[in-house]
Amino acid sequence: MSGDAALAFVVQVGLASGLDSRDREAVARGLAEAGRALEGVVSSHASVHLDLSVGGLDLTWDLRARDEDAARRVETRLAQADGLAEFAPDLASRVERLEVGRPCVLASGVRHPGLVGIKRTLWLRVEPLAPAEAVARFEQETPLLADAIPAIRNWRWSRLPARGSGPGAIRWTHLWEQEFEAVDGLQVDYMSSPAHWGYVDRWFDPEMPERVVDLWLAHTACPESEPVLSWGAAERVA
Amino acid sequence: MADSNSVGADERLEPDPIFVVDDLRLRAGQLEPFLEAFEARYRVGAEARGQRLLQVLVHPPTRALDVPHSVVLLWQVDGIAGFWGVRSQNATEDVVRFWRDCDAQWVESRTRRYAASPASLPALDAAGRVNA
Repeated sequence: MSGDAALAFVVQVGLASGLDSRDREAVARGLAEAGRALEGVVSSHASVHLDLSVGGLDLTWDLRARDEDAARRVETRLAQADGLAEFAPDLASRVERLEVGRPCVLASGVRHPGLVGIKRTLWLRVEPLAPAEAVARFEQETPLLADAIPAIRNWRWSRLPARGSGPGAIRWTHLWEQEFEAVDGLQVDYMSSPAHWGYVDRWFDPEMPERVVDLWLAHTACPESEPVLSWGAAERVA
Repeated sequence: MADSNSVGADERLEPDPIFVVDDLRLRAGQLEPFLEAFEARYRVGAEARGQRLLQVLVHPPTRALDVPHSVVLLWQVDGIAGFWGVRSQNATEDVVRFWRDCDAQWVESRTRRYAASPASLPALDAAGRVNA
């Protein structure tokens, strides 16, 4: 599978300690607004992670650039050490860390355009020594979950280009994003599906010889206030 | 987790048993060392995680032939909640080291599969479909 560079960015945001829930919501609103104010950004959404999240940072910030040139500029600004201080100075003291992913989309689906629900994002890292043919099969099989689990309304499966050093460095290699109508779509439908636990999970299970995914994952979910994974769907159809 | 992490399915929705089938092709002469290591280093921990050992099967069923043996370990977990109970506890150094040592010392090749009775498939496919 080859990935096409998308115009989207998915950012994990780590907040300073000691912020209460009102502060955290305020930072999310501030980041969404700061993103919308960036030149070339057409959509920006940020939301605090739900308590069910494990292994990730504090909130997810999604952005979409107008075109490839704008996306390159956004990527440069987000990856700079002082990027946030420059375009959102009032937030800089409350934000400690950004992990910026720019998905190269392997596959995606929109079954419910305009859904404002729960966005789940799984950040994962394929082991560097994993056999290429196994990684290729893992990449092909992950979208089977979307076929088998109707509660996954919209989804995107992507590689994350390596960015190994500097302030924008990330350790993740892949991003598996889904939108559900409600939390139980993730907690019940997704986790109960035999396609998940009985088939695709083998790429993650430390007891399976097929495992290719590092055991350190970031499983995050957050409520949406706008339809993130179907951003631009109407334009693509048109 | 597969995303396994701490999330789990609602056990009330799906009580059917799920079987874990380990199929191991051993290297020549490694049946006894493998069985000793399995008993000493793996079985008790696996059962504590919720895998109930039903059978250990050896092929060929003899020690009189100088050929490599295969071993099937048949386990049961209590439904989907039992599966996630195992998965939420098996990412430990001891477990990873046991299988790494198996692959390095005693086992030529192996598979692990989760499986169920054909009669259970409708219930498993329907389990948790609250947002279909």
